[in-house]
Amino acid sequence: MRRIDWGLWLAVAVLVAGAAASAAAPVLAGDPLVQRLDQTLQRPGTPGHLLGTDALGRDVLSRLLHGGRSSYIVSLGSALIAGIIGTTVGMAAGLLRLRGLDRVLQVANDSVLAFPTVLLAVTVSLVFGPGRLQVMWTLGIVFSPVVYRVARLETRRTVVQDYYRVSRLMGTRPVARAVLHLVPNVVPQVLVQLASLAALAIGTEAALSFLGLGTQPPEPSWGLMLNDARRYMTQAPFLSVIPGLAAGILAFSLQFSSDRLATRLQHNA
Amino acid sequence: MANVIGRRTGTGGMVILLGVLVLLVSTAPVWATGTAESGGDGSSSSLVFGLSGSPDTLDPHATTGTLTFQTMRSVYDTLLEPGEDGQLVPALATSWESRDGGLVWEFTLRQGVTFHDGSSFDAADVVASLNRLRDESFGSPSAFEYEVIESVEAPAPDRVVIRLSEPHAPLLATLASGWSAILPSELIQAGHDFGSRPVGTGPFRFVEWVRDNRIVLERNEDYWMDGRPYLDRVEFLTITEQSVMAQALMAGQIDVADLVVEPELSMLKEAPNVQIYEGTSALVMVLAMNTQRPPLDQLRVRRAINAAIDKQTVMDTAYAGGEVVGTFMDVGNPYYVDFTDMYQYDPEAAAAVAADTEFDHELVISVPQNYEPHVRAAELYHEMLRQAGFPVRLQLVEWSTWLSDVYRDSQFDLTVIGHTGKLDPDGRLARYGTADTYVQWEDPPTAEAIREARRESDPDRRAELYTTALERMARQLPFVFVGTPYRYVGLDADLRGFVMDSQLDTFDLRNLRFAE
Repeated sequence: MRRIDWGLWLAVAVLVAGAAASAAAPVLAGDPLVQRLDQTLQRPGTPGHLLGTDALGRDVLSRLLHGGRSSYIVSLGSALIAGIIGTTVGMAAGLLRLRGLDRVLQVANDSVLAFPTVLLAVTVSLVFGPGRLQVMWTLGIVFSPVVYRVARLETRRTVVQDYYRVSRLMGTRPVARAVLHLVPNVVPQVLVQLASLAALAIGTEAALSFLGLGTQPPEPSWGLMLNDARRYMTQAPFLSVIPGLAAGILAFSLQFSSDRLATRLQHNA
Repeated sequence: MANVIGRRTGTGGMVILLGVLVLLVSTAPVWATGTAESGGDGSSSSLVFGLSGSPDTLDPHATTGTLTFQTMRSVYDTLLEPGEDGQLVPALATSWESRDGGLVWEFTLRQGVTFHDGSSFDAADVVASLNRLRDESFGSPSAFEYEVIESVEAPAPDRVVIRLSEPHAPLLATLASGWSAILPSELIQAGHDFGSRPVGTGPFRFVEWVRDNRIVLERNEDYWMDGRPYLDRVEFLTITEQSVMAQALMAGQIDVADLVVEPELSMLKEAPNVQIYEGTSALVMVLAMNTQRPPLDQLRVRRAINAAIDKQTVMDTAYAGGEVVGTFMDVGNPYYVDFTDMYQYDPEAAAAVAADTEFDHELVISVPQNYEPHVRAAELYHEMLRQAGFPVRLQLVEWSTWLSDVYRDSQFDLTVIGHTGKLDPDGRLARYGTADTYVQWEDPPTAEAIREARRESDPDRRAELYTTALERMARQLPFVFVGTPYRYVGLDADLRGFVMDSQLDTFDLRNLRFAE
């Protein structure tokens, strides 16, 4: 018997609502680039500008929603990349159990993990130019070792279980065996990690855009909004609070979901 | 409903929340480190001067960086210097005259001047300094300004004779500029490291330089100008964040905050313990166009881009105010001619041309990301051009990348930048009209007028030639000439005697003192 986990559902609802609002940004709010220089730094609640306007008179709500697209794309995209690379390589390493390959992968893993993310992002932006997609790929690659470890560990743990050995003795085909026994064990653990990594990606994307390495102005992104707002901290603190809060809530919801899922998996085990 | 979250649960989220908060406030405490030991004692005559950047070297012969001249102006002297009304006045040279139709210049030097290391100043130091600037193996970036010099001789300890290969009107202006600083000949010969340990004859002697942080100077007791300087000690402190600089000034941690722009300007204007120095700059803010790249090679497209830009709005919003210009000269310059009526702000006409032009690629506006007002201006240009129907995109670039790709290699469509002035108009205009500038605008009559003006000594004839060049530039628009911004410096309310040279953008700290 299982109680309904309201906290988890609330977090998921926040994530879905955020995604829907960002996706529908062009319908819900106006053009995020249009400047009204006669209406700068309007406070939230101003008619026509629910969340106010920035220093160039651009609608904050519109920039927040359009900026959310950038956050969602980068965080989900990088999680997806890490998930695909990490799970495939991790399961392969766990199944094949080739000593040499394992060592090589281990070294590759450690070197990716040891490399500072921001430094890597700077290098990537120097080579390919700054931009949202570059950040997504950088984070996807940086995150994949984490996923790899989980996938490999779960695979190794599964293949020594009695039911898996029996299934092999019974002559189940390898593909069916993987789908029946490996995937149900590996995927939930990977998802827990991915939700947590996606949360990290929200903050990192904002930080890199803040530093000018991510989304390029005048396109909206939360990191750029924070960077812009920095100088108006005394006159218009809401300009910092709004994107900061949005990034915080989104990252918190992802991390919270991840933790709740992890707890449930432990209880089930 | 029992909560089954473990201790681990939620902390990850909290860490990220905290991270975001740290991101919000991380800029605040930076100034605390640099000023801890120097601020506070307002009664002594010690000055803390906030600069928005840090010089790359302290050797004025080895750089073109303004920050070097801004700080080293107080350590070095030049033969002449710019006076307050724009005339050149005596400094290390007390008088000068020219002979042979401007081919020979003779300077009489000030006597009894000593360098900070105790050695005395004479003609040999002038010869050694000018030869160092001309020396190919030294490779000064200012060397081209001295190319016209054939020889520098010292017929007597207090006399210097400079011979030129042809008449050269900008000579005195060059000698009055910071890069013509006079260094001691003995140390030049000994290969002294002037880049980190400057030795001059200036009002302040060098004490220490902590890279990217501060430069400390103290009073030169033997300075040749009677009773000057007033201050005992000057500390230049690098504060890159404008908002942090303004806060430090209001809190009394620094006495001067250089280069104040909006939004800090309005805040400082209301602060009771702050006064604002308001000057004109010698800058010309532009949106430069690569005149060799289609469709920017067509004058009608450049005119349309010019017509799409609301210049006064850009000056007011991005650059804290200023005056619109119509050509490549700052408003306060004696050679400035007003061509602002030649073309009008007309977004509809711009849209008509944009609709009727083939673009094979998006026009990229390259923006050096190290100066926020340029980024802000770029966002305004982007929106104005987008509204007019031009396909545009912004790209932020590192300052070093901007210098190499945009300024040296002309790899750009449009770029946002400000052009500094020099004491002589030739400093700004040299080489324009030839393909040898980053906008690659070729116009032989302009190039010829500028070349001729350099050799011309009659001021009226020079003005005529420059007017010809400036009018051709105004008409053909290698740039969208936007405006000359005002120059604001935030000062402690008790500070008196702050003087700037607008053409060189340097500070004269000799008359600076705190009111009793």
